[in-house]
Amino acid sequence: MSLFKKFKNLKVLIMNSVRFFERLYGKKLIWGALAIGIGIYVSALIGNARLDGVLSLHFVSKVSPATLLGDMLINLLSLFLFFGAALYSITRRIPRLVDLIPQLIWAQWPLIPLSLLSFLFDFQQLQSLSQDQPLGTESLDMLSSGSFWFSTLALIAGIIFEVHFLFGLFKVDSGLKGAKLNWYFALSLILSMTLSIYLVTILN
Amino acid sequence: MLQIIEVKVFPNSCPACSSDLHVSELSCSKCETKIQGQFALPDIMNLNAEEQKFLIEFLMASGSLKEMSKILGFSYPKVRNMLDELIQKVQKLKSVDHE
Repeated sequence: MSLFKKFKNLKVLIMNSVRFFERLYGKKLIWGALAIGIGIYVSALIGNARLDGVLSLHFVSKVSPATLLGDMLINLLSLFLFFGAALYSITRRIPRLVDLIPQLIWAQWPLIPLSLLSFLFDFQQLQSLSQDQPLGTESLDMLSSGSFWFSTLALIAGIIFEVHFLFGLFKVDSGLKGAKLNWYFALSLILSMTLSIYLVTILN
Repeated sequence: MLQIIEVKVFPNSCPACSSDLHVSELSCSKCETKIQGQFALPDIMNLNAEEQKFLIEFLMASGSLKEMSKILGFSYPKVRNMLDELIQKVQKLKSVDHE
């Protein structure tokens, strides 16, 4: 395969990943969502990340496969409930499950690299050190390391990307523009986050 | 002899003041009979070229939005939005016609 064609394929892949809510349909959307769902599950499992709420990620010493699956299902259910309800109240049409559910999974793809950040920086160790001795030398050394700052910035960027993707899909699916779009989106996201955190807390 | 016919883009509005246009003359391509008068353009002619293309493709796809997303390479919700915008535009044109 020529370099140009490889580059073109890479460009298409990147465009599809960031504009999936506009560009993908049918089987591509569904199979992609399945791959991303498995990707998130596997990376969170090996990176020991708990996805305990929409837009929430915590590193723990050991995450169980069942807990992780439960977290992911709760997050998807919460997003689906409030985004679906908002889209229905805006368009007066029941959103198509074959579009909305895969799109909501696609929007969470930044969780794949984010879950693996524990290999770069030991957040769990920092947490346990801070609990024992908040301003200990070891904690301060960890906080001043480059890997801590890089991981923190990557986490923030990842969360911003996820919000951006959720916003994009909400914009395209609702067809809304302006302030009304922002309010509906913010409300749906906050309610989804609240419900998911509540469900994860009571089920733990 | 090969006759090259230049295809011009059909204007939807006046290039000078952007007002609506109407047909003032029709002529027979065979006998060149000319009819003059004030003829309103059909609603479809008031849509822009892109919207007309969308409408024709939608018709050719038997009104299937799923098929349209394959043809256009866009997601289903995006195609649905495009159709909604077109419906709104046609409704607006119709309401202007009634006034």
